[in-house]
Amino acid sequence: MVARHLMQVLPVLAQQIANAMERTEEAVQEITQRFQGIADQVPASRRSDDLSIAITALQFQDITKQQLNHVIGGLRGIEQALSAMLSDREHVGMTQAVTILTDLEQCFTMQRERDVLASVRRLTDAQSPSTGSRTHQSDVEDNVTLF
Amino acid sequence: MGKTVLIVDDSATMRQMVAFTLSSAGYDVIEAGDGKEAVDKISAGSKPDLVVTDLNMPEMDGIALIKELRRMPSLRFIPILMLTTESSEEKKKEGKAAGATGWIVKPFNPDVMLKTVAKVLPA
Repeated sequence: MVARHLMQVLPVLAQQIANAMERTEEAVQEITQRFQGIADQVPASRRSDDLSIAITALQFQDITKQQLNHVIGGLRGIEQALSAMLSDREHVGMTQAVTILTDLEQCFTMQRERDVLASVRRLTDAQSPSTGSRTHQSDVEDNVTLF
Repeated sequence: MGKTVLIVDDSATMRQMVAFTLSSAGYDVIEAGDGKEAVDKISAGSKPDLVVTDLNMPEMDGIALIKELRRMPSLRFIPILMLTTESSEEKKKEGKAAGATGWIVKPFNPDVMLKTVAKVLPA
C-alpha cells in the first residue's frame, strides 16, 4: 500500500524538478542575454573583475541542471524498482534497488556529488552530508589541466 | 583576421557565456549544440582554429567528437579543450587519449579561460 502511494509521488517529484529546471534555464538565458547587452556597452579596458565573477556565478544553472538530472535519474530508478516489486517481480525489483546507488555513482560527474555519496555511505555526517555548493573564486583558479 | 573558436555545448547559456568571453577578447566564435552539429558545421566548411567542447552531450559526446576531429587531416593538430563538470582523473585520461589538448572543469573563470586559450592558441 505504501509502495503504491510512493509510486504516485515519485513521478510527480521528478516532473516538478524538471519543470523548475526548465524555468530556471529560461530565466538564466534571459539574464545572460541582458547581461551581455549591458557588458557590451562597457569598453573592454574598463571592465572590472566583477564581470568575471558574474560570468562564473551565472554558470550555476548548467551545473545545477546536471545535478538535478542525476537526482531525477535516481527517482526514476526507485520508481522502476517499486513497480517491479508491486507486479510480483520482487527479485527484479530488489536487483534494481541494489543498483540504484551504483548507477547514480556512475552518472555523477562532479566531485561534490561523489563527496555527498561517500559521506552518506560512511554515515559520518547524516545531518548535512553536502560539502557545500557555493562557488568560490578559489575553486575555479586551478581548474585547468593542460596535457 | 581573428582566430576562430568552435564552442560545443548542449547548454545554450554555457555557449553564451563562453562566446561572450572569447568574442570580447577578439576571437570569432562558432557554436554547436552537440558533437554531431559540430561535425556537420565543419563538414559544411567551418574551419576552427580551436575547439572548446563539453563532455556529456546528446547525439555525440565530447570524447567521440575529439576522435572524429582527430581523424580529419585539417583538424588533426588543432588544440581542443574540454570544458566540463567532470573532474575525475579517469575521464581526463580518456580525454587525453582521445586527443584533447587540455581540460577545464566548470565553472570556468573568464580570465583563466582566456589565458588558457592564449597558451594553446598563440597569436
